[in-house]
Amino acid sequence: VDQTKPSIKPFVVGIDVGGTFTDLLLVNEKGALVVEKVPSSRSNIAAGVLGVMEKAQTTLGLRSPLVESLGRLVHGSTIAANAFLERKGGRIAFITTKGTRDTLVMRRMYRENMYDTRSGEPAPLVTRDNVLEVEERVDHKGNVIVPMNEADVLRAIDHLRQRNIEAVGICYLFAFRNPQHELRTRKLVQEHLPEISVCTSFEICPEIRDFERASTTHLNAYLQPPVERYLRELDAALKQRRTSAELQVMHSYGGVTGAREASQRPVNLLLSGPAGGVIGSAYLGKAAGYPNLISFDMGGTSCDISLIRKATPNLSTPINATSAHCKFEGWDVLIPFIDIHTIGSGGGSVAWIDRGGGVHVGPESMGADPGPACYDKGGDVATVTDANVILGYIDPHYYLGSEITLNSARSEQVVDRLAAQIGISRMEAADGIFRIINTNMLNGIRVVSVERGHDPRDFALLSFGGAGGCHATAIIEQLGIDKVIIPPTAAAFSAFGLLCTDLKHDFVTTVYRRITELDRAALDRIVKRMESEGKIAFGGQQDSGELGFEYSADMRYRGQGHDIRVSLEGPSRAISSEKIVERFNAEYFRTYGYLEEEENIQLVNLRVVACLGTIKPKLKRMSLQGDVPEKAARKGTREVFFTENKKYSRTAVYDGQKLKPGNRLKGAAIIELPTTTIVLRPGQALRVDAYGNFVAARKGVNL
Amino acid sequence: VNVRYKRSAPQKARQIDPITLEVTRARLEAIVEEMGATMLRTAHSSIYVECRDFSVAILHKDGGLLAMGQYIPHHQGGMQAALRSIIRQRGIESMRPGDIYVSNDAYAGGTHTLDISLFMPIFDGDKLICFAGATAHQIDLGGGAPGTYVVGATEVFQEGIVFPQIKAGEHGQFFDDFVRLFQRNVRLPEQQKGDLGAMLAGLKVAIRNVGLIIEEHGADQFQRIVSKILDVSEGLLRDEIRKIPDGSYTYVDYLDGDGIENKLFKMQVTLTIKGTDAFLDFSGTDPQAKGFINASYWNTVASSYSAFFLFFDPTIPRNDGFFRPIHVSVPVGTLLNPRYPAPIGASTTEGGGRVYDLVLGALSKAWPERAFATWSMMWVAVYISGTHPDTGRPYIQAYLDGLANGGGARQDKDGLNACNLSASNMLIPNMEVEEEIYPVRFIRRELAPDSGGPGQYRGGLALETEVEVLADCEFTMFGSRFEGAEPPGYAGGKPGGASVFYTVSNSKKTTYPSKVGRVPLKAGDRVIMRPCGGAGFGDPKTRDPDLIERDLRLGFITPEGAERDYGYRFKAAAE
Repeated sequence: VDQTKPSIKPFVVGIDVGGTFTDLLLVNEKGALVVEKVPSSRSNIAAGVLGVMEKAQTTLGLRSPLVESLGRLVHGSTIAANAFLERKGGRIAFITTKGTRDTLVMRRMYRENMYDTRSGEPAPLVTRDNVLEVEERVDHKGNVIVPMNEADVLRAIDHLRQRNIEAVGICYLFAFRNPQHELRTRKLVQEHLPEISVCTSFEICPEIRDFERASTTHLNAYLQPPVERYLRELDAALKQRRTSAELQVMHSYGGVTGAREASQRPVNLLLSGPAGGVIGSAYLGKAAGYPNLISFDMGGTSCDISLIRKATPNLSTPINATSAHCKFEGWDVLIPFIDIHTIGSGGGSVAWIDRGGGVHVGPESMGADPGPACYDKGGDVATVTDANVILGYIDPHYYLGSEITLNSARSEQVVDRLAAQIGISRMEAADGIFRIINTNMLNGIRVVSVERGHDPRDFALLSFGGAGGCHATAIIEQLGIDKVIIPPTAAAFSAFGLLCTDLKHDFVTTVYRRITELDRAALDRIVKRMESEGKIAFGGQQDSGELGFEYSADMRYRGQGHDIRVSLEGPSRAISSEKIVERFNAEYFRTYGYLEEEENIQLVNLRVVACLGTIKPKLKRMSLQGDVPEKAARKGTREVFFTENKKYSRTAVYDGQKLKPGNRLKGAAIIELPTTTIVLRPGQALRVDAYGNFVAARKGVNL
Repeated sequence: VNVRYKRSAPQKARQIDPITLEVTRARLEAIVEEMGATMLRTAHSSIYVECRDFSVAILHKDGGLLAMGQYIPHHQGGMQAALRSIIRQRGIESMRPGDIYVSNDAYAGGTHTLDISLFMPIFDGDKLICFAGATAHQIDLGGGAPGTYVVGATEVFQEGIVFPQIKAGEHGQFFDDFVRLFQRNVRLPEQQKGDLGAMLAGLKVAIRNVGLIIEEHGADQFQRIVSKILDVSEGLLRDEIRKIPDGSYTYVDYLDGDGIENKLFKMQVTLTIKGTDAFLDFSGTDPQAKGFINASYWNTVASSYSAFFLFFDPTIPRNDGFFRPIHVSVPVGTLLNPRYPAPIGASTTEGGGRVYDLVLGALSKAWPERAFATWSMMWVAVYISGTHPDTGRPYIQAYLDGLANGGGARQDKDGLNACNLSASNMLIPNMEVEEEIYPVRFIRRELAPDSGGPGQYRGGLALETEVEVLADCEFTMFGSRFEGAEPPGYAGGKPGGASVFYTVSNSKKTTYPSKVGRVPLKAGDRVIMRPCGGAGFGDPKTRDPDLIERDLRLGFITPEGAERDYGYRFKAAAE
């Protein structure tokens, strides 16, 4: 297989299936971008994927089917996340070491809210009677101290058969040090019940921590049946239409894998949806000269926030993080993924008043159906979008490029009702909703930045998603961030991001030794083994580009319970204890501001990511026009409220599509794009950069 | 959209609108979260890192609590009292930016000696505005036993080093003298020095970020905002108390053993509701114990507040305003307000733990619609210590497994399994991590069937853990709710299962009293520990048979238990 040969098929396509829309982004042979959208269908997701391609084919006026002219097809999907949230996973069982059957039930004693003494437990993914114990034991050095009792395994297999189990996860103590019992168990299950999906903790996440490893493994088993089914159907439908490209699926750590691999490790797909946007941000940032970014994707129901440093997204494991996003209702996921913090703040977020008269916004959302009150589809409570209509940020007659006309009278009605309850004016209430949702998102940004030891002021905000443009400009003022960038492809930015990915496989080895105990040869052995696993993993997969490796280490001071991840640059032969220590010291000092004795530095895990490069969309650099926009770009004026002025003022409105690279505007101004509106606040400045991005600067900052 | 904004009159502009209030409150809470996260990621001892036995807060310049993280509830009341003791002792006017203060003098304010509190003042210019605080349980503070739980201690002097309202540093750095004194008096000096550093790192997060909020609003307006935040919490709790009929409600419970006398100690509270105020009077409680189960006065107050935290609407912000309607009175010389220098080492989970149970019991009596059956605040604490054969270094392993007791059954649902009442953020450590660090092997860690108190709604199950020690060592164990002192049920519900502790050496089983110190173990010996189960709610005879069958299927009850506790015949033969 010649992996360096470029693809001959002309079209590269990313398809992102969201809750509301299925977005397609296509790059043709000249590098031009085409965006297409169709409503998502919950019951038949695959139909949406095929439908949006047919729509793109019509738009492009192609004579032969698009699917036959694909050079690459990358898919981002919320199927795994939804299967978990809606509890639509498989009927599963779990096999574990005798004496430890309750590890999953207990979740290490975790409770969501300590002060809530009256709530129940979340519905388990596997019931206790389907947790099966096997006599066996490996110690912490990897020695077998109790041989596996195969009769126990056979009894478990009988149980699986009787209960019609669809998928089973296997997790034994210290299997990451010696997997022989897990592998033998898997083999026996496969021999007796070939139709059942089986996964082992050794394959999914060979890392120390029995609860988190069990949790990840059982979550994987739970997601296997629906994800397998979906990807199989989609793959078959594409093959039937004679697709010219293998289906690739986005996973949570920012790369893509083939559909088969993805169905075996669906736990890697939990953030498949939002990961595309982060990768796209990093890619755009690198190309357009913004290497340090906080990506900010505010849609209808939620806001995904992530941090990108030196054009590389921050990766996280739940052990590093303390915020709730990495816990899926207390079940941790112990695999690297992009550190995406999701909060329930979107255009549809509902404003409500607690018993003490406190005003809150979200996390409940009206979504797109019935949607905000102004959609006039039965929504009867004040939402963020309603507030934005009252404040003049959104033009009711130009929403989604006039596809929908909003009823502003309905917004006024619901916000008035809320205002009356606490004795303030309509305008104060609308402005209050706007400020509270901004505070929620500001706190979300702090989680990915300050809580991880990064000063948000060292970053620019990259805002995409429909609701972002109204809020991002206000948030930078509060956080002291200098710039916010809104890309012209904001509408389908996650789909764009899918095309910026490489093929990736990740490998991990738990070392758990003091760094001083490790010589060069030992490190070399571990790294070499993972590299060769990487080469095997890519055997047979076709794409252009060269196989490359990225190395990192999870480290801490001995006795600490939390690791920091240190990336190890350069070739593997350059990895030495000294180099690892040097990188650790730099990273630890940057994060916490002090260092301890070097002899106490412990290497917990070594990680290798094998990546295969792909063809990516080229961002076109355009020549800059003058500072002053064409007359035609100015649409008119309207009354807009700004907290800073404490009043409505007549504000210029621009058509964003008619602004040219180089054009500059002074705030206050409104810039309307078909799928988002940018609110340039008083004193702020905006400039269109050479890539067509809208760049707004905080008050007092020069562009 | 043609509404014109009317400019407010100047004096009205100084008023605090609900929006600013909510925004500021949310930001303070986010800062406290961040303090906790920083401590968690930098600490060394597994009692912090894995078990999260620490708390963080922002406190008013008068010592009152403004915002706290969801860590250990009684730390919060204790922290407030500790800070007030420092303010009393040293005076606000002597404090400078960057100062660090430390106290673990529980008789002056705090909980017990093992909980060390650190504070740093937050300034606006030269004006002290508020404090950042952190309290953390130390893995050791010297004294008569590894872990400083000294069974048999008769005076607080045997229970570790006390720092009475000490200035521990300046300019954001500890004094070397303080660190040397600290390290010389504890058993794991290196590790514990790292833990102190972690606390300091947490405080600095607050100094930086609260400073930004003060800057934004100005010091005076900030004061107004925070006093309004406190008033709102007070009002919300008063609204809740108002729903309880006026009257007095007395509740009695027992504590088994003090490590010196193996007997039941009586504890009593009378809750009196008058309008929107709640008065707690602990008269009727036994005189102070000889052993270390006494709760310091401040611990009794803090645990009383905590019980209110856990009983009332979980959405009310927990701060000093919340404490205002609660009035605590404890007779001097009793187990819950001992005379100096009585030992108080196990204050938090023994005497103080039982204060939670008493106050929750009285509240459940007073407001049956919100009642739940006993969800005991207790710990079967096991400390194993020795020298690690692989490293030759001393170790102290504190088992948190004994915190995983059964939750009390509620109005409409069973109690939670293996779930501590007051430590939702405390996590029991991974077995693999424990085996990696300590010479020990986990044989089993599982829910104990039939340990949930029978009832229409069943109490939660307790966790039972069996470990094998791989090297010669010693253990200290103390706990409560053993046989004869089970957590009582509610409204006809039965008590939760008793706590269990024993060791096995060469297949010979040895049992112990409820508290026992420094017992030698040989390599290969087994230790079995289990806290109590949750108590049942309502008559077991009225339990839905479907739920009984589900419990049988899932193994939460045994066929014998079903017949004994519920009169239910197991139909296995018929199936």
